[in-house]
Amino acid sequence: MHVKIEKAAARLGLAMVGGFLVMFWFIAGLIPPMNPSDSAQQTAQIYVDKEWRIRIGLALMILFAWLFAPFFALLSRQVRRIEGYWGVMSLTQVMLSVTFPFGFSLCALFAVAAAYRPERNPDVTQALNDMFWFIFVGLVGPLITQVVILAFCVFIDKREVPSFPRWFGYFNIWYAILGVPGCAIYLFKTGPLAWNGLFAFWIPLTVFTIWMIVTTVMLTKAVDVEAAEREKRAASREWEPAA
Amino acid sequence: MTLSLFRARSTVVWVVLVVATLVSWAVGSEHGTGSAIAIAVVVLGVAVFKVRYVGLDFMELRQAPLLLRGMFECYCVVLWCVLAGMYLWL
Amino acid sequence: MNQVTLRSVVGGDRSSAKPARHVPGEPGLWILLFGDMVVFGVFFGTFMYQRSLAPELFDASRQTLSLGIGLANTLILLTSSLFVVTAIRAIRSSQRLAARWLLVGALACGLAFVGLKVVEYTAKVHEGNTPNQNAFYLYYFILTGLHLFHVFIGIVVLVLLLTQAGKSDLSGTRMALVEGGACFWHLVDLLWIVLFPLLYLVS
Repeated sequence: MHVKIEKAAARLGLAMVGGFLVMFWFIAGLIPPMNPSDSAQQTAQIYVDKEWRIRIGLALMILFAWLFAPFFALLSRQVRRIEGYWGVMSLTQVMLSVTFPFGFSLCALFAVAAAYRPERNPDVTQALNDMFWFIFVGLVGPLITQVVILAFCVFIDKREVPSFPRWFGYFNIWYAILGVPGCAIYLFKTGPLAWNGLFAFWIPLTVFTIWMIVTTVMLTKAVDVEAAEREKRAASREWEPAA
Repeated sequence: MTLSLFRARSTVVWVVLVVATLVSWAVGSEHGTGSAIAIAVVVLGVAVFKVRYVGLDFMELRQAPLLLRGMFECYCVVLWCVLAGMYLWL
Repeated sequence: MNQVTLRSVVGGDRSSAKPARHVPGEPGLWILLFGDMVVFGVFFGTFMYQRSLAPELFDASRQTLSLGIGLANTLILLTSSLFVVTAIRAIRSSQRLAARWLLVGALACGLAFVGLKVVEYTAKVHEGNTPNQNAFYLYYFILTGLHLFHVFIGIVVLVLLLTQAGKSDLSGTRMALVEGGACFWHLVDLLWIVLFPLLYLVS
C-alpha cells in the first residue's frame, strides 16, 4: 500500500509539470514570455487580448498547484531515510517544499489580478505583471537549495543499497548550477538574463522539466529500494525504524 | 621531492598551453588587417587545441574509456566548427 | 575498508602490459562536466550570433577591454590547473605535504583570478562601460559573470580538496571525489580558455 501511494505521489508531480505547461503555455499563453522592456500600454494591451486565456489558465494553476506537494513529501521522506531521522536536512526539505507550490500559485494570483480588470490604469497592470514574472522566474532559491541538499544526501548515503545512484547527485548539481541565473532577472530588462532571456528563462525551464522527469523516475526506484528493505526487515523480524 | 612531481607530461603540456596562449594573443591583437580567416582558424583553433589538451592531460581523459574520450574529442571538434563557422558565415 | 589503488599513469609501473582505462572521478561526474560544457557551448554560440548582428559594434567595444588582465587571468588559470594536476599526482604517491602546498598554490591562483576580475570590472564601470550599455558589454559581463560563479564554486571545491589531501589514506570513493573535484577545476580553466579569445580576441 505504501509503495502504491508513494509511486503515485511521484507520478503526480510529473503530471503536474505537464499540467503547468498546459496551463501556462497552452491555455494562458504566457509562455513564450512577454518582453520586460514593453511599455505599460503594450503590457496592458496583452492583458486585454489574452484576458480570458490568462484568467482561466491561471485560475486552474491556483487550484491545482498544491498537487505538487505529495511529490515533495516523497522527496523529503527519501532524504529522511538517508539522514536516518527527521534531521536538519530532511526538515529543511519539508520547509522548502512548502514554498514550492507558491512559486506557481502566488505568481498566478498577480497575473490573474492584472487580467481581472483590463480597463484599469496600465501602470497598475504593468506592476502586477512584473510581480508575476518576478515570482515565477526569479524565485529560484528554494528549489536550488532543495536540490543541493539532495545532491549532498546522495553522496553521503553509505548504506549497502543506496536510495539513489551516485550519478543522480552530479545530475542535481548540474541542475542547480543552471537554475541559478533566474535570480538575475531583477537587474535586466533585455538580454539573456531578462525574464524572457535564454539564460534566465529558457534554459532553467528546460532543465527544470528534465529534472522533474529524471527525479520522478529516481524517486520511483528509491521507493522500490525502501520496499525491499522493509521486506527484508520483515523477513528477519526486525522492528521497522521510526517514521 | 616536489620538483620530481613536476617532471611529467602535464608540465610539458602546461608549457605548450602557455606558448599557445601567447601565440593566439599575438595573432588576435594584430587586428583590422582583414585577416578574418586567420582569426577564426588560428585563434579559435588554438583555443580548441588548448581545450583538448586540458581535457586529455589535465583531466586525464587520455586514459579514460574510449567512449568518454571520444565524447570529449567530439565536443572539441563540434565547438570549433560551430564557432568558426558562425564567425565566418553569419 | 579496502583502499583502492588507482594504477598510476605517468612514469608509473611499466611492468604491466597496458594500464587499464580509468574514468577520471566517476562516471556520474561527467554528466555534470559535459552538461556544463554543452550549456556553455550554447552560451558561446549565442554570443557569436549576437556578434553577427552587429560586428562593428562588437569589435569596437572589444578593443576597450583590458586585454592585459584577460591574458594574465588566462595564464593564472593555466598555472592553477598545473598545480592541481600535480597535486593529484602527489596524493597518489602519498606525498601529502607537497599535495597540500600545491593546492594552496592553486587556491592562491584562483583568488588572484577573482581579484583581477574585480579590478577589471571596476575599471570598466568607471570608464562608463556597463552591462546596459550595448549588446557586447551585456554579454561580456554576463558570460564572465557566469564563469566567475563557476570560479567561486571551484574555489570551494579546492578548499575541500585541501582538507582531503592531508588525510593519510583515501578510500576509493573519496579518491574519486578528489579526482572529480580536480576535474571541476580544470573545467573552470577550460571554459575560460574559450571565453578569453572569444571575448578579447575574436570580434
